[in-house]
Amino acid sequence: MMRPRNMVIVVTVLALLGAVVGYLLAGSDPATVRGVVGTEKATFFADPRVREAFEKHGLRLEIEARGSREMATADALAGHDFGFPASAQAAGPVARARPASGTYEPFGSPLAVATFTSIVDLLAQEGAARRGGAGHWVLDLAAYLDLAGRDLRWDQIAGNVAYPARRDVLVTTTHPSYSGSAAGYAWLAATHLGPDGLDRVAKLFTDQGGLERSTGDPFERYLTQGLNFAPLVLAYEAQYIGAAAAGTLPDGATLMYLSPTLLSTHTVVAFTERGDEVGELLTTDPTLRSLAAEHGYRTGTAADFATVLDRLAGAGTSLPAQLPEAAPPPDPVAFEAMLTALDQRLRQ
Amino acid sequence: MRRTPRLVLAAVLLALATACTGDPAPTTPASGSEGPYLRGSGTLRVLAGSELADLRPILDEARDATGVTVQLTEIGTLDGIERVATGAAARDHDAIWFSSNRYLELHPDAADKIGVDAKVANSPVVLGLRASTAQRLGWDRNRPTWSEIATAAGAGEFTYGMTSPATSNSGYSALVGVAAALAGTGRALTTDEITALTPRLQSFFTGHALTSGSSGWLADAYVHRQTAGVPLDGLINYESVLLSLNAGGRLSEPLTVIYPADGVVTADYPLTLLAGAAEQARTNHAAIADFLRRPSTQAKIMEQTHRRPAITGVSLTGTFGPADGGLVELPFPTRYEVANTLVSSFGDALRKPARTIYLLDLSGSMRGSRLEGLQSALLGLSGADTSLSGELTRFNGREQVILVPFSTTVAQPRRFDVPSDDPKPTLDRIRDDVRGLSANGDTAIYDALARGLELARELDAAEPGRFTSVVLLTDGERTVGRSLDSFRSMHAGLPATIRSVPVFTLLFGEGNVGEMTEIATLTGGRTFDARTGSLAAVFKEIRGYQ
Repeated sequence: MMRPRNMVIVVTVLALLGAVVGYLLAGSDPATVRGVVGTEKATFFADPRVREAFEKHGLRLEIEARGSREMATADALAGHDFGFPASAQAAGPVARARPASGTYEPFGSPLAVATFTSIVDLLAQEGAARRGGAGHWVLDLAAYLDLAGRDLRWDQIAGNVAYPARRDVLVTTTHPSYSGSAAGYAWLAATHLGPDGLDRVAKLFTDQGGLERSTGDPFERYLTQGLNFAPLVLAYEAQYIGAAAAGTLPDGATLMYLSPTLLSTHTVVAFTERGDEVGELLTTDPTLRSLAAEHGYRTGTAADFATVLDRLAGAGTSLPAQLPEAAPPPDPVAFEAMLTALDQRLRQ
Repeated sequence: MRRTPRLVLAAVLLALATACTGDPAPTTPASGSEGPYLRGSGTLRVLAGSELADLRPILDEARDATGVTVQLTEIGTLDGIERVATGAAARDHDAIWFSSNRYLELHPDAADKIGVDAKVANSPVVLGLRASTAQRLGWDRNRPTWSEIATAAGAGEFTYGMTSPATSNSGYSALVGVAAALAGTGRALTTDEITALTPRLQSFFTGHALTSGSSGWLADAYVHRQTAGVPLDGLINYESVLLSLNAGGRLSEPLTVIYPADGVVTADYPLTLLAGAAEQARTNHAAIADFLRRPSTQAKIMEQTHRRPAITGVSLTGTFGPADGGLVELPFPTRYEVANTLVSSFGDALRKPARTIYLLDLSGSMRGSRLEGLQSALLGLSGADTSLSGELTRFNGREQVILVPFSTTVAQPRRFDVPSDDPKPTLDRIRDDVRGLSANGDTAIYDALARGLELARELDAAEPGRFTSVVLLTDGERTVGRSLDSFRSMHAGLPATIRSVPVFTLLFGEGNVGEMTEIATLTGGRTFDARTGSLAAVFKEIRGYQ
């Protein structure tokens, strides 16, 4: 172990050298571009290779991460060159909060549930989980909503030694008013339960307990605390693939696709010329596209994603190349109306 | 090929840099491998819970690495929530940092007041019991449920200290956890369920023998009680506080950390930017957040403060439990009304009722604005303050409030027993009494203190089982009556239970800071600084300790 003072000297030297190296590599000072992105993409933008790819084009990114719907206020977007929410539905409010100079849809990722094999077995036993065609796991939304509607608790499932907690069988989500993933999940549930089912949709959230505001947070606790945090955590497929590639998944981790699921089209909403450049590069630059695939996002280039899936399959995780049973993208007006009505119920 | 020479030079420089770093231990990656630090400049002004104070050494390192000085202003949970919700916090601060934002996020006016956050660590709220008590109860071998803990506490099997849910997050989290576990529904609590849980929660709080407005002071008071010969059996607090106590060398007997089998509520320490923060503040927040969430810093936070890492890739060391089985997370309320009902029921129905003795200096020097300040503070506690913090810190149902004015002599104590049903007439009588106070004469501080503690003894003999505490407000030096030495020997002659009645002294006006501190130390109380700011705010803060 180094003494703190030595450490400080070394760190200072390193920082100076880093700056020199950066200068030598780039040749000139890059321009700073500021963006607010959904927390699920924080790890993508923190990847040194991603930063380097942007710097090659003369852009240095400064990223703030928060909920995709939470970012849709003039104050949250002020001073940024672009917003990058997790879905096309969340991009609408962002563009309304601040006029856009352009929008870009570089990649997407379906909603899924990060969980554990022991938990999937229990849900399979209750008829809510099954295998899909590519050997991946599927959470049957209808059967799951039925279990949740009956207030089934984990400790009531026969033979459950994996997680005999006195807690309801519920997917842990973020708050639908702030976060795109929870809003998508609410839409799927509301679509299944029909126009009279909104109270039941609200109950899926109020029964959980305190709700985080952005998808990065519960997923990080899934990674660090595992089953202690929650048995079922709503996430984007990309978050799971990213963690699998980084080797940070908890023991016994697996992914379940919602059936039907919703493909979230992560959408860049640019406010300035530099913001447009970012959207443009994410959509067209081959390096950035293949890095996005490595972080688990489905880009327009199937080959990039296939390579990533092959690597995961080699490590024992099989995920489907073709998107499993996706629901049609929601009508924006109906979607916002549903969320407004839901928000009222959650604040009562 | 234009870049080749530069690349070679870069490689050489990097190799040099690597050589400089020497040979760091494999578990603590050299900071150099984590990329350059983000830089900011100036100060990040943070409104923070007192429990964050132990991160100061880490924040000093953050300043060296990022150029940003983090300035922590301590504030209680409820006051903090209120200042954020009214927008007052954003006027003089850039960020907030409490052990959790969950209560705050339920406040209807808070949603648009907070910005990005960075979760810095994790620590569950758990029970720590003296090793011998844990063994006697068999809880060192089998993990009890909260229900078993409540039953044992109700049967007088053990006593514990816990912070006030109205002013401190650890107490609030504990209350949420035990209530959710006792309800046993598997879902977030509802208001109706709280009422039904009252008898079992009362049983749980029978063992509650020491309260506090902050987690840090609770740990100190636990040690003081041990030294004073009136030890408690344990503490309900963050795992980090319990492990720090065990590592601190001040305990005569280590605490066994008990992880309730049915779950816990975990703090996650979000460093949260306030909405509307200036450009520089945003940059500073990002730089500090980046520093705090690096693997090397996370490992240090774990080693130095016994909090669990917030990020992946930092392995837990051996002191964290439980040794077997899981640590289920209990649901936090999702509705603001439920969160508030829990706190108000704690005061009015669940907790062990309080006996609060106020020794009030009414000497001549108090005349004018000082007396007005005192009156306004006491009127606030009697229902005139209708803010959230006022509402949740007012005199509670079942509380015994005793006002003892003094100047040249000590006046006849005025005692008010606040009923749990219809407290208003009694609160009105307190207010009438307070309005009638007038200032004149000398300052018999130690006669008043001696009288206050004698009163505590008489009342405790007649009705034991209340939380008894004394507040001493004086704006000057003793001028007549008993001396400090004489009080000290009187105090030494009191029975142990009365010797451990804490005296909370206010630093106010021209009061003697040294003597006020000594009285607080002698009795296991603490001082509160009312020299700047309002008496009302300090009186509310003291409520957490009564």
